[in-house]
Amino acid sequence: MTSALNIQPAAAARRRRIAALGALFAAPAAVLIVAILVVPVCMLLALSFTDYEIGAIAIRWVGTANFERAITDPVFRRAIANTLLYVAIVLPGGVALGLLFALLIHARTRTRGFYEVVYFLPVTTTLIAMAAVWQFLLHPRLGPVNAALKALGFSEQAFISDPKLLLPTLAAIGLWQVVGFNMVLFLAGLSAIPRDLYDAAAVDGAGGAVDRFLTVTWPMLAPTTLFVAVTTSITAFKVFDTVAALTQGKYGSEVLLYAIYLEGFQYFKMGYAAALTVVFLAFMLAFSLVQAFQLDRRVHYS
Amino acid sequence: MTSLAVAPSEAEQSAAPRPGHLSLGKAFALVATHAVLVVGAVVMLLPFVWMFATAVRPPSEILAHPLDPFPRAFHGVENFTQALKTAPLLKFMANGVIVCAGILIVQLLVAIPAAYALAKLSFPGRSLLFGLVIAGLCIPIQVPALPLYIALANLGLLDTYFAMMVPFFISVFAIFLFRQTFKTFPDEIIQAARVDGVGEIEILWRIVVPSAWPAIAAFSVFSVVAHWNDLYWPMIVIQRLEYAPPPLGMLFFTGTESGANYGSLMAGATIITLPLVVLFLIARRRFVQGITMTGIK
Amino acid sequence: MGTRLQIEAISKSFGAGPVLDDVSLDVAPGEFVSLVGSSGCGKSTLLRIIAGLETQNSGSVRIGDVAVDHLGPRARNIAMVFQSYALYPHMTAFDNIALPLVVGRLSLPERLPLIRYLSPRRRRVERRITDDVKKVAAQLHIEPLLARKPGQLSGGQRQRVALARAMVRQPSVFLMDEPLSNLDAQLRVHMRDELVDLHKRLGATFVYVTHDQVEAMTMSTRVAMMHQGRIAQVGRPQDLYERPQTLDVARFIGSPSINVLPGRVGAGGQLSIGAREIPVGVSLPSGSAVSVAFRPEAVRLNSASGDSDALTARIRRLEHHGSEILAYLDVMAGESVENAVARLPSHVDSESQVPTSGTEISISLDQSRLHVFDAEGRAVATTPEGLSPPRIVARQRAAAAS
Repeated sequence: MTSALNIQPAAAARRRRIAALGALFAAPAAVLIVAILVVPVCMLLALSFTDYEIGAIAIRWVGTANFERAITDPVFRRAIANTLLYVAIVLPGGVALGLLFALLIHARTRTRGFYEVVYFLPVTTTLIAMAAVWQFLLHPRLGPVNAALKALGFSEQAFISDPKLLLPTLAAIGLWQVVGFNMVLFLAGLSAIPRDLYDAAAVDGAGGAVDRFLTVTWPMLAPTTLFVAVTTSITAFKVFDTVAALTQGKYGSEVLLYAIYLEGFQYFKMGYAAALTVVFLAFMLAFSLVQAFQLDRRVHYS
Repeated sequence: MTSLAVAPSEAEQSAAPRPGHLSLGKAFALVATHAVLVVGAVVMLLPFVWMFATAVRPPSEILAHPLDPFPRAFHGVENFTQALKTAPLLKFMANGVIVCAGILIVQLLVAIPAAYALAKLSFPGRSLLFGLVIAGLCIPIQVPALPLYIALANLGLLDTYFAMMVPFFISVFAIFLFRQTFKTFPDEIIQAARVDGVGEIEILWRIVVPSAWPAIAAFSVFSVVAHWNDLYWPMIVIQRLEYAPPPLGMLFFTGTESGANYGSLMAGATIITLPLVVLFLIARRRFVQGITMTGIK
Repeated sequence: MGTRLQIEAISKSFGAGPVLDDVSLDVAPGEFVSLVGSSGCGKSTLLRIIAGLETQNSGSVRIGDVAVDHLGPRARNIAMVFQSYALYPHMTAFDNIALPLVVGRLSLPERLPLIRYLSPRRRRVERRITDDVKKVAAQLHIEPLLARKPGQLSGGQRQRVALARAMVRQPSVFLMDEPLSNLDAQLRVHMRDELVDLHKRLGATFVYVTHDQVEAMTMSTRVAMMHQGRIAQVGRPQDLYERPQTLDVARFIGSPSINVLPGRVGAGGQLSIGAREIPVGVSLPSGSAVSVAFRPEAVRLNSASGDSDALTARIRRLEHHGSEILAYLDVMAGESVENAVARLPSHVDSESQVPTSGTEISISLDQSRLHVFDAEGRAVATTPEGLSPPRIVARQRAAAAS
């Protein structure tokens, strides 16, 4: 028989052993997090207040000069404006189209699998490769899009070289890839709506398509919709591949990430690029906060 | 004696049609639905169809038939050969395999024990670590890219596989996801195993991990796809072509294959795009699960 | 306020086999009819067809003598309470209850998010709706809960909100699909009372689906038991209990379940269980196998094994329920040993009269409360004491004359 006093050391030893094991298991991850996330982010913040350039001998503290320069820099301002404009097209378009196709496909029985595959196919592709394909599709002389326009009587459009059309075109390519992704998320959300609610709506008289949507579908999808909106915004804000593939930031197609890339890794103005990255991080945190706020609300939802 | 308070509207009548009859309203809705879906499907598939069609056509045909997707002459062998000559496309894919595999293996080796510790073992600093994981979820690769580049440059490690893989060795998303999965694993089984004298590492890899296999598989797909298609980081750390992964390689390819050889260009695009498309068609459900992992929060 | 409901020859199949097979039922105005049966018998499907949520393959539904087959649920003026209550989670209790009125009294443009403010009559209509909702809420004592969302309500409160939503439109028929299954036992009993009370107050026609035969028996004016897509028997609860027409009905109704022993028909219609002859005549050919069923209260324990029709049984265990004792028996019924339950009043005081478990006793069956079913499970007529039918008739005539 063991008295309470005798049990204590054994239990405490067990606890210590578990704690040691836990620390051991978590150690690699902890080290990597510090080395790859924590330290670099701190360094980034520090760098943004300096005028560091790779290969430079001296490094000076310049306070907020980088940020002040950014605000007055026409390239940066265009980049931010373009990026926000891009998001302004891709966000509502991606959410609306994703929802539309999900609603249409959700009810299908025999053709559902087929449409799911077709719409998700663009999501799986390497955007650089597809951007080249799109470039060909939109080619003034060789591409089918312009050929079709001419056949219908419209005039040829320079989708990529015309500054007015460029950003919408990039946004369209972005939409092309994001719609399938959003659609799958919405399909999952639609499947989670209890069928009972639609029955109750039918019994209450809200059985028509519009009524069903307003009374049941849209409110029940609200968490999914918000999630899709935030994810789409984040993805859109990170636009980079299409710009790198098609225009390299020329013709007025500067976007934030490409501007950072140029400043930091082509011109090697590290301090300035760090400041721009801090701006980028601020936007990312803002988006994530929206997401976190919504998650919190979901707890009180049902 | 009837007591119907509300006159039946068109919508309510069509809700319960006469047995065997499809009301006109429903038929119209069906046609309209499919019309919209088909238009959308055409837009989604257009690039694939054209890419492949152009990849097998002779240049003369490409010029002459911009609106016609059906190739008349088969020129595929020449186009694909030309593409492979212009750039080492197969090398790019091999690089992709190496980089993705390397990243995934380390990610799993690091994340699984950490997630288990966060879920089932209490140790000092646990909340702090979890807080860092959550914070890390908001930080994409582009944020630490600059300082990491500087560090790697100073260490002379640019232009290596290691440089391409290193920032991704830690996946806070994997830790978060696996922690959630492990949390649902019954404590009693673990305690029973401990009582039986099974070592904790064995408990983890032999008992707990197999139960989380669906989540691990789905995450693996997510990781492979994300890093196969990643452009930003490789573009920063890789200058030498022999290390380029597929997206970077494609960028080089389009840059080199300037000019009018669209057949070869599309052939190159086909080669680059093919692996993931094939993977998707084979393992569709896993694939979708993996990529939309971000939906499970 | 009650409306007549007629179900005529309804058939429905979902591909594999028929879920409903030529089902007919006539519900009088103001009746409370329960549809009972085990899962898969088709009761929920029938309810959904009555509601207009499913379409039958053939047959017709008439509400108030009008065929409603081509009408949607709303137009049929029925209300339905679902097992899961199906309350809209994002709306307050008030909005949930008001919804049928809002949809019914305001047109679609008047309900759309921003456009609705353009309508002049909207205010007036909404005020009337508020009054109607409050009235119904008062009837069910849920007024203080109206501002809450379903997630903030308990199971019983959600139930009442669902009821209020059904009542607010003053429908001609109330349909209920196992509304009490999700409540805990005590609440269920309480709500049973409330529903019966409600039915009396409203005087409306209720159709109630449940798999719980106690609910059906205690709440309804009539019970329709369904089995494999057909109505096995319809009648007052007592009729189903005392005069089941099929073995399935006999087995389903009653708690503890009816006891069933295998029996055989001998020469002249003589019934026997094992070696014992039971003085009851069965009008079936000699040699037929039958099932003999009797309720727990139709069993008498005899300490003496003298009677020629007494069966041997061993007491497996005794359950003391305070007001009664249930004896679980193993009964020798010829080649097999069957389980049976006997109900004994607990005021049997002297120890010698209440046997202990493990003892072998003999039991006899009350012949007037025996049910005999043929090999297909159909009830067979029995005559007491082995008399042939003409002799019975003569006896009855003699009894009537005196």
